[in-house]
Amino acid sequence: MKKVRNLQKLIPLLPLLLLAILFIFLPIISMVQKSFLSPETGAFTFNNYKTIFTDSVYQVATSNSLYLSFASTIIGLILSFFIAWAVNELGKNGQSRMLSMLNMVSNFAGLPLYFSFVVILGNTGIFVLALRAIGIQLSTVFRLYSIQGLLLMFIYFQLPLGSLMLVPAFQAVDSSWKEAAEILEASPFQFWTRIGIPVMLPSLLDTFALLFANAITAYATVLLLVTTSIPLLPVKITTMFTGEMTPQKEMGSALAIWMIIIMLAVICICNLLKKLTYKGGEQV
Amino acid sequence: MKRRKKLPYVIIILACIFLLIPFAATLVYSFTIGWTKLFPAGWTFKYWIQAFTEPTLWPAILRGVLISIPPILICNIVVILALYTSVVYYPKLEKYIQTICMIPNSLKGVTIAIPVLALYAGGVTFFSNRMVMLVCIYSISILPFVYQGIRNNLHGINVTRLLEAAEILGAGKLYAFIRIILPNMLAGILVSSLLALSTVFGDFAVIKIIAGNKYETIQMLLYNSRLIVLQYQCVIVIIMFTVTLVISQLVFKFQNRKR
Repeated sequence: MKKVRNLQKLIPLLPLLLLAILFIFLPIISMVQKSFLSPETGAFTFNNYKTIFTDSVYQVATSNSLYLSFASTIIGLILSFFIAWAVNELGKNGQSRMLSMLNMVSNFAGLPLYFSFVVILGNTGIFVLALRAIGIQLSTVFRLYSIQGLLLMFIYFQLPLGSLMLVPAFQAVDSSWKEAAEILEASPFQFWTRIGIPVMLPSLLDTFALLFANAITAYATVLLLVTTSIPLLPVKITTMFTGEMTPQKEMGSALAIWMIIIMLAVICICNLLKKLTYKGGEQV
Repeated sequence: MKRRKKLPYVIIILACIFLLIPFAATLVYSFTIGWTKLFPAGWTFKYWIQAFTEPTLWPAILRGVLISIPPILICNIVVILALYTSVVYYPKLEKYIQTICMIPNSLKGVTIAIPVLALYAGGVTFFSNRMVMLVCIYSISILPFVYQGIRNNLHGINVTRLLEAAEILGAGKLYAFIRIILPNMLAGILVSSLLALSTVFGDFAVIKIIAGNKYETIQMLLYNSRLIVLQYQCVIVIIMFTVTLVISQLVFKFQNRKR
């Protein structure tokens, strides 16, 4: 009797579980299964994955996506680190003003961001034309419709997110430690490399994982910019399911699972590093 | 010493310039006739008037807001039920609930919409309906926000104590939940729901993949206007941004009131 009552108490947990099973786990499991099926015969095969590693189209999409995600995450993280540090050095008023500005800009992503960048740096962008008017051809060094253009846009949407995540981490670095280090004649550089950054490492790794996941799945920002000239995984996958051509569900599934594996691998490595470098004390 | 004090301001100013230029340029450009030289050729309100007089704008904004309401309701109910049960009866389960609720932090947009589409589209089940799919995917996408809001709230009000007090005074658990716990959580629920609203409003990937042109939110409106003049797109971008700004200001206001 008591057992039945206990089980009854678990009923309120079911809706969440059901939602997660139906719309996270089942779809992913079915996608994994589909990725091992041959498009022609429906039999079990590794060929879809083999194609990803041998067909140049998929190789280029993978390396583009990896390059953009890693580069934008690393550059974004470094710049965010300095922005968050600077925000922390400001007075209370300046701090809250900066935080609400970062918050505001963090909403500026996806399609709106794409159109804004077309306005300033597109083929007829105002910067491009203004520079041309004074005799400088920007297109010789930078074009929006290239991988560098994409990288710039990615860094743009990583910055506010990264900074917002790192500001609390800086607050956790106790100012009395800084004083103690100064008394012991440590330079600011020594303080940050020996004490500050190690203390902040868990937050830095969390931010890295989040920014990476954000970059590799970015779809709206890149959709109109790249279409065919610069293949990227999210766009490639989507066209295999929703494009005008006949859907290639098996190949698309393999590619989607491939992207998810890359993302999960990075997140797992970050978590592992976090555990390995964790030295006790309070987690920030 | 003095030099060290200056550096933060230099960084902040550079960051502000970089982050605000695209936005400022979009705003200015939306008022121009054309901009092919160093300065704009002239100024006009034409595109703003065009956007606001077209019958498509308001329904598109409304659709974006409407589609977020069922997911917000579903997600809140589902998370409150699960978290409340675990806090009161099974504190050990909270860890697992957190794990589930945090999945959409990494699996989002394309990576959640494509598997769902591949599994349910073209079938004859209830989930094959595109609107049902959309609502359920959004319910998943907003899980992290809703979870965090409700968790902070439940821990903030010390549920177990409140329940004990209510029981001593003769109230049943359900009664206590509805009359005491829930009202105490409303402010927090409101904040996380507004955050969820701005996520759904800002989504393009899911709506494009699942609904295509069948449900034109303002994001789809912007996408479909990609071949019209750039000034018109700028107007739409500014309008979208203003709506998100209003939502985040509301969040800010309610958060402060709570304190």
